[in-house]
Amino acid sequence: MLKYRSSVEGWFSKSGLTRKILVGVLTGCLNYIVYYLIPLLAIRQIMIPKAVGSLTVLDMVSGMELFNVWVLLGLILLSVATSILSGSIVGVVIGASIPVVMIAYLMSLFSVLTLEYLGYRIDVDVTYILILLSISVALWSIAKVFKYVESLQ
Amino acid sequence: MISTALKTCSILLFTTTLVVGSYVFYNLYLDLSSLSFSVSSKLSMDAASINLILNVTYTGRETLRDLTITLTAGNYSETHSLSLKAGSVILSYTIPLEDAFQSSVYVRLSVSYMGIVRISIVSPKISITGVP
Repeated sequence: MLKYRSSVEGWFSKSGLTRKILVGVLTGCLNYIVYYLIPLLAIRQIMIPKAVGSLTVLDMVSGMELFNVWVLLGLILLSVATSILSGSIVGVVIGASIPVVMIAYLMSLFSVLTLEYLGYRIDVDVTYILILLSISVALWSIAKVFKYVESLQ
Repeated sequence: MISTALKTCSILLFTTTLVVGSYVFYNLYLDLSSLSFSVSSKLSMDAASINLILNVTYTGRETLRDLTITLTAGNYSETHSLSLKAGSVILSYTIPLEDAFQSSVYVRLSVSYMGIVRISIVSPKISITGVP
């Protein structure tokens, strides 16, 4: 009886782990869409044509693939870690750091947008806007960690 | 309590950044569509230099501040800082012949919007060649 109970508990914990991994993978895919795909598409479709009229070549953004396996894998791993470690401070900190890491990554790519239009080279430096956005995201992440700490008290 | 305050600050900062960013890019669009410049040149009297005249025309409604125009040809580089009102400004550059002929000439126009977004536009390179 004891042996049977133990094996049932083991099965449930395995099932719980599988569920957490699945949630992590799905969250990772969602994070990929929110933090990578949407900003990239927004920069390609909205920001640049409004800024300079019609556009022939957009050096950096056009060179970037919409499907970046390394970014997707990294986000899935971080999300799985967050999901498995949820309920502990480590999980909360990892989860809170994902948006900050992604904003920092996007900042390194898009801080200076370089375009070419009718032979003219146009550099648009948006570093300060990205810094302000990353500060606001970091504040939000710190708030999540504080909320967890407050819930423990 | 602290988490709520931090979330409020975060939302306020995010919203403000988006609003200011949109305002800046709207102004950028207006200013770039109302700015044009043309170049004409003539050989100076002593034949040691080329006198290049840059005519900058701005038809926007407000003054375009923090605008710098730099003309570069090899080692020669000269920058003019302008607060451009509606109308045109003529800028004169005297380029030494060796720099004008050995290197391509180009104009760089830099604008800073509220110190937040900086734009730099570099013209196509102009090659000056002597007529035999």
